[in-house]
Amino acid sequence: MTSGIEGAHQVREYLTIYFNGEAYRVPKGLTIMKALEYAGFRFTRGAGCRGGFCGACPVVYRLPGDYKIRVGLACQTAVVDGMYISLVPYVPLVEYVPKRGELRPDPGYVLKLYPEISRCVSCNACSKACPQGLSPMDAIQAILRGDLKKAAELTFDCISCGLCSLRCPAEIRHPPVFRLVGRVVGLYYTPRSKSLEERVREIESGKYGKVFEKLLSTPTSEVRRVYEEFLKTGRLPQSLEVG
Amino acid sequence: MKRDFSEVERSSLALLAALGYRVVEISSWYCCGGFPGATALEHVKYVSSLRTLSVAYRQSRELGADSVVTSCPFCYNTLRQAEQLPVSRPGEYVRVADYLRDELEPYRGGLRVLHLVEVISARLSDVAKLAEGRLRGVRVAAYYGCMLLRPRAVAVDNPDNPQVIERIVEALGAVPVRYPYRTYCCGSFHVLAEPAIVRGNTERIARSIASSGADIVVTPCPLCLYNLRRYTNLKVVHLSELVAYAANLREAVSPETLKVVASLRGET
Repeated sequence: MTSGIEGAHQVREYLTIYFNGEAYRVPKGLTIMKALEYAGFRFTRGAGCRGGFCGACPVVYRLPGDYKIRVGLACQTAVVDGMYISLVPYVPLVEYVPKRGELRPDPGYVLKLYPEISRCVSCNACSKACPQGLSPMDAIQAILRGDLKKAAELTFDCISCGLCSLRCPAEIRHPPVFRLVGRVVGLYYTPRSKSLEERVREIESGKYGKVFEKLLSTPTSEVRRVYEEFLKTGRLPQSLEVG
Repeated sequence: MKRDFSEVERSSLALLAALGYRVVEISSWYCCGGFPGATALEHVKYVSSLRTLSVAYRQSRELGADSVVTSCPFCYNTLRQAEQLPVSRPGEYVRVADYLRDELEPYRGGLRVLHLVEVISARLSDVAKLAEGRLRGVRVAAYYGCMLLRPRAVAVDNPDNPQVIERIVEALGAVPVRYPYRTYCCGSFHVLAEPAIVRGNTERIARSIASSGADIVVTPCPLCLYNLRRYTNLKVVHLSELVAYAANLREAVSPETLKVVASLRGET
């Protein structure tokens, strides 16, 4: 379909999407997020980085003539003609935040905090819902058989959108479970970063204190000027050098 | 078993290696939850076991393997029932296979599902050679539990009067003692919600065993083992550990079982 007068305007193709039960005509080639903004909606929730990383804009949709429920991120998925769209800006996942020093490298610890993971019937609905293409089921199964390292490895790219938990018939809260497992594995199995420890020591010893004080007391306009100069020359003024 | 009964896995693998089998873990397998085999059929419960069989089948073609073996009676029961599903309940099978088709080629048969006791009992003379009569004279009561015998369609032996573990015990040079409650349920998962059931059942089993004059009880099931150890004073060991001990694979046997068996050898 074309719109406008041939030659006078750029010819654009439009298509129809359905959102909250209403039809909207939007240009072809937009992402779901852009298309909804084109249709006049403003995202006050459920939009973040717009680059496919933050996980704030999970979306569930169906295509005409297909029974499959499809998922994606609104900022990454292109609109298709006849698409039925539902945004899922928030999934209720009550998280247990562990206290410092309480983490244990023990699957029993994870099970105690999130007992529902033992209800996994391995239907794999979670994996089908994952916009990151992960397999939450394999990770949950790994925890059940005591392999926290494997679970952490499998879920490293989780963006905590919560779609898996929404689809889970066992009502497992995957993102908080994976966050907990990641913390345990980070603490007990991952090699410690020497350079990070070194930098923390430097910060604690006050090495950067003066520079930061100077930076914080500089007016914004001056910071902008210094920054723009830095972009051009790659050099900082003497007063902001550490040492 | 991976988490709480790793000694069963360790001793089973050591035993299978000693018998000359090459055992490869299925690249991804899924916990059936232990329930499907034990409860009324409901197709969703067969999703995990049929998926596991699909993965196992694919891998078996690469490896040239022909069987799936497990030392967990619940896994055995569930996988065996799932393996029979295309024939036993084609309608259920089609429904589950249809659901799984999104992910992988559905399992259509081609693997044998075995429990460890079936492998051992098929190799009794080799087991006897490995055992060199180390347990000679020890009176062993075999406690079967449920999952290897019920339902009848997946029983590893005659469910009313099984002999397979007794024959293994004999091959080890030990003396099997028979008693009425060999196949009585220990109470199983009720240990979680209704421990009184398990207490009652295990007491009956324990009285029956006590009157048989056994020195030690051997069971193929980690859950039976757990329940019997928790609620009775019986000396109970897992079958794979006892056979591994007898076959001189001590490094694969847990300290707890070593202690129990050592105390016996002191007495006999």
